[in-house]
Amino acid sequence: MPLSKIEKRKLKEKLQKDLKNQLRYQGLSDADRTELWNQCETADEAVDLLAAMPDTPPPSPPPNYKSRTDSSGSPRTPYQIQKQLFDKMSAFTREDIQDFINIAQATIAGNVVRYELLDKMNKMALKKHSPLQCMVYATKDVEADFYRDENAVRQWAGIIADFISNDIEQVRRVIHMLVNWKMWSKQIRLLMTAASELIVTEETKDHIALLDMVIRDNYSNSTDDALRFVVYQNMLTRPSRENYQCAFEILRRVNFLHGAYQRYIEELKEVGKAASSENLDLLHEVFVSYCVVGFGIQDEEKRKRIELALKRESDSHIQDFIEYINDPATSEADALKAVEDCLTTPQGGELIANVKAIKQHKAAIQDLLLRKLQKEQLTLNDRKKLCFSLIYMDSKKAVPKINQLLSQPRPDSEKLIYHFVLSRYDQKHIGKFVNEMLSYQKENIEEKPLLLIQRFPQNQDLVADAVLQRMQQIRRAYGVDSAEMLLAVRNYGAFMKSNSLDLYPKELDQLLFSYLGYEPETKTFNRGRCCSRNLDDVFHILDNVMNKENYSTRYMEFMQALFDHFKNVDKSPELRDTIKKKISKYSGIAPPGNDPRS
Amino acid sequence: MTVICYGIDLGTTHTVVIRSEYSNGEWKNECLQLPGCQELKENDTAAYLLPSVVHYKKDGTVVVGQAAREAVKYDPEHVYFNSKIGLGGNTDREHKAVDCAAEILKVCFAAIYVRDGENVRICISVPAAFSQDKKKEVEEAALKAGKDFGFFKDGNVRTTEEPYAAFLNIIQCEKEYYSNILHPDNPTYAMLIDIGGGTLDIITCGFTFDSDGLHVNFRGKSPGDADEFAGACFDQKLMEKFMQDFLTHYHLQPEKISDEVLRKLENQFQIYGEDTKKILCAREKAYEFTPDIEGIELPPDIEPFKLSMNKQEMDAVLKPLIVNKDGLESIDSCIVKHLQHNMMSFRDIDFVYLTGGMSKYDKIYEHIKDMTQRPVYRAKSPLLCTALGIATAVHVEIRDDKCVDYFPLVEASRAAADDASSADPEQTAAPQTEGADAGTVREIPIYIDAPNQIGAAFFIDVDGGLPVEIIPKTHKFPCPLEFCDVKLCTTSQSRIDLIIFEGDNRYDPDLKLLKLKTIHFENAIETGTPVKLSFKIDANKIITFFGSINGAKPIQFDCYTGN
Repeated sequence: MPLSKIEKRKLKEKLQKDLKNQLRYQGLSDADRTELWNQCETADEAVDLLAAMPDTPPPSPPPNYKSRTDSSGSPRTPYQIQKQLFDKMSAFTREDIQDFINIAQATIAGNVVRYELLDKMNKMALKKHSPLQCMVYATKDVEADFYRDENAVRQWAGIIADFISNDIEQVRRVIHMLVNWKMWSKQIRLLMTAASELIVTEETKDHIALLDMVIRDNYSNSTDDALRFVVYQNMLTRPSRENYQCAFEILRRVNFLHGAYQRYIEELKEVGKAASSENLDLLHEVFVSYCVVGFGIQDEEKRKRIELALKRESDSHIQDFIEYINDPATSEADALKAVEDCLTTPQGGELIANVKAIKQHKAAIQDLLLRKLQKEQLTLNDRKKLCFSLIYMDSKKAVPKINQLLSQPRPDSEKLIYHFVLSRYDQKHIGKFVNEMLSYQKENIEEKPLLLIQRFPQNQDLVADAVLQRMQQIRRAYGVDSAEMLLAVRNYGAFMKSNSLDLYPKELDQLLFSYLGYEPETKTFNRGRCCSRNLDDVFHILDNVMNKENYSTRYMEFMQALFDHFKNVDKSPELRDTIKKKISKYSGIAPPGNDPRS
Repeated sequence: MTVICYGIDLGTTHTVVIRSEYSNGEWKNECLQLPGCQELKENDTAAYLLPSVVHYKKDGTVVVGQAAREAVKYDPEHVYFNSKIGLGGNTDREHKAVDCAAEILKVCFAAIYVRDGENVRICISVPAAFSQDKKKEVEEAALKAGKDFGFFKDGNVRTTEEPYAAFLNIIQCEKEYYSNILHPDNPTYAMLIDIGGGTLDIITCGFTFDSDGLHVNFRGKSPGDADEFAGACFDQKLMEKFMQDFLTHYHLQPEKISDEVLRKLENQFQIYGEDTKKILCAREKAYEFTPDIEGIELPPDIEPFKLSMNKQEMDAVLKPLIVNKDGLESIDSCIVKHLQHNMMSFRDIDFVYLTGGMSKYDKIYEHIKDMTQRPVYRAKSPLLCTALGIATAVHVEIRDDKCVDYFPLVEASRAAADDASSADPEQTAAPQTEGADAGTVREIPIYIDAPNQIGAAFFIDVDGGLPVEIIPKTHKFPCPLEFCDVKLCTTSQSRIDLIIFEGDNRYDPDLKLLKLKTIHFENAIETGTPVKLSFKIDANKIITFFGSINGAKPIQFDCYTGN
């Protein structure tokens, strides 16, 4: 039966009284926390309720600074070495161990145990116990046979990788084992084989970076060849400067006189072949820089072999390539083939930047680029390369073809590129490009080529005008607090991040202020509008616009009002500090009364 | 007859020495004032606390105590604090933790020597949570430091586990807490939580008074499930808060500051964190200090400021370390874990006794009280409680298989025991006061069940199998050389490794790794040579392992051998 108004009021009063009492001890019981949420419809409302209570201690956020030293003053590593073989999340019973031993024996006997193993793992997971440490520990009981069987190791590693998927808690379990189970090299090999199959996602990227660090720190010097090779594979699997450097360091130490190196070189070749152009560039770059310090004269032979393994077919200097195209002796067919080949290699980016230098066979090359652009099977990156080549070649032929592409159903990201290309040829199209950019729904608004508009200074005022017009239009049509306005402000913030101040129309100031619910006359803000999320959006833009010259005339009053607003009503000291910092930065004076404790 | 004993509580943050003298049929305890302590009034406990901080000065001299603590602010690179945490491990720093412990003990030994010469009994505390290697290094430090004063000539250092010592002290000296809840027939169960500077030890025991004396039964396979989780972690949390405030004030980003500067700031804030905690636990309203910013490049337009913290802020910062949230380690999670390990619940406990420096913190007291719903008592002198127990524990010796006689000074103890058996137990608790005179104690015999059982089983790693048990948890100590029933073979020509684990059984999720032990051979030995494993355990529960290669004389692990 629903509560009557009086009952509700009484409950609220009681709650307030109880909460106050608990807050004095800095703690809310679970029951009262639940009741508090039931009373309030939003988190803000709950916070307001707590803040409204007299004698409530000021909210103090937990420190987010992470110390570089441990409690004895020694440098701290990002991972902890512990005496405990198994961490808290990995409880198990003798029966669990026995079950995994049985499955391991079945694996050695040649059975496919995928579902059996996953079933057991899931059963443990249901009890909130991670099965990873238990199952890897259980393999000790049959380790001689299990680890001799490469198929068994691969099968279990694959299942472990699948189980981990993008669950950071499971990555932590693996890190615990890698840090604390160094004495069990066979089990570590299984874990690293699994680790090499992990897919980096947005959720796991930080933890996998830590996992890589643990592998580099603890195992790159391993004297166990089987283990060292898995470390090497891991390092090549996940591209990063540190990982590649570690891989080359392992290569440097491998004895090339005994043929063992061959599988290392083969692995490098494979990785080189499969790598994206960016990763291949990075691999080359790290190798070149590593050569300076890593390989001595005695390693010359080794260095050459690695160079050979990494050699790209199109490895030639781009200037030589341009000279080849411009050479009157080069036939049109040869020139076109060379351009086509070049565009599919990592050197393609360099070609685009130098495309203006092409003097011979220009028309034919433009045709080639346009033809390629119309192909379906192209990545967004390839399309960008082609479009920018056309822009640099100032190809008028591009316009009708691109218009044709725009008339077809294409992904938004692709269309945005075409609008940008068209805006280069036709000033009238700038408005269209701006409209598309401000209403762009995908998150890759920050794609670099889209931000290259700053390279065309003659159009900046037009872009600024178009932005203002479109923003005003959105305001009129949907309102300043609409989802459309939010999207436009966010996209524009991302767009402004790497663009110049000239792309910003001064008149937009007032619109952004009102986006935060600012009333210039009363110098107050609408509390609902002036939240940290909206403020972030606005500062993304204004951070690129505000400076010491324009601050006093355009922003001072607004910023001071903003500071006062957060000083009085907001409970987030970070926001207050951020605003304070900005005021100090641009005005040179810190606002008074900034510390609520004073 | 006069006997003089000393108990040294070698703490993570402070060290205390208690002198215990037996004469005219009674024991008298006294705190020793050490050089390096703060200069305070004699009845202030702090005057007897030697900060466990060592400063290795550039001119080669070594300073211990308050002066070393001050040096953190200007020479952090050469100051070692909380070094006890690093015992038994490797360090990247110039001096090892064992050397720092030896320097601190030297100060204690010098004061003891000046007072009573070399003919005294000394006992040093070790946390129950300490691993074998950590305990071993305390012994090594004591031997190294005691050499110059003629102590430990027989090479035997006496150590006692801290919570047991603290428990024995409260049973004797703070009886008024529990006298009214004693069960007449069944054992009374007490949980002792020793929250020190660097370690958290929890023990639970049942005890009964009868006409023979006090019978104690310690429960639990191993106390201190969460060692290295104590006061220093709280100081560090406060340090992180100060660092954040400091960086925010000067608009600095940590990644843009050199490691040297960060370390300088962190080290001084760690010390200020400790002071903050001490002052605010003493119910002061707020604490503030001006950070030393000499040599640190700061924005010129920002005024230097004082960092401050009030009690409420401190409570908020430290709360996650007290109250379990998101599965992170906290005081309450350690208590729950201890109970789970011993298959007990709060209902099995009659009262909780808090000791150690952190027991002064009201939030810990309140939370434990809320959580356990049991009477919670705080030691009268939490900083001296363990040291007093250690001084008393000097007399503990195993008389037979089943009991420990507290006072083996036969003539005196017999009389005392007779006296105690006829007396009202209430009267055996003597008053204890803070300060130089820590009180007099009347003795009663104490009988501890299975006092000489090692408590945890030990396992070794073997090729192709789960770890194998070599020492059962019921094994008695001390014990002479004993052979293990396990087949071992060398797997390399140059050495043999022994990987040792401690736990309940090999399926125990709480299995802990002890240090790797090795015998290095100077001359190559054929791989696969059989090795017979043996061990002995000393009176401090330290286990030493030996290997007999090809039937030759046993060689101690962790050594080179010419064989």
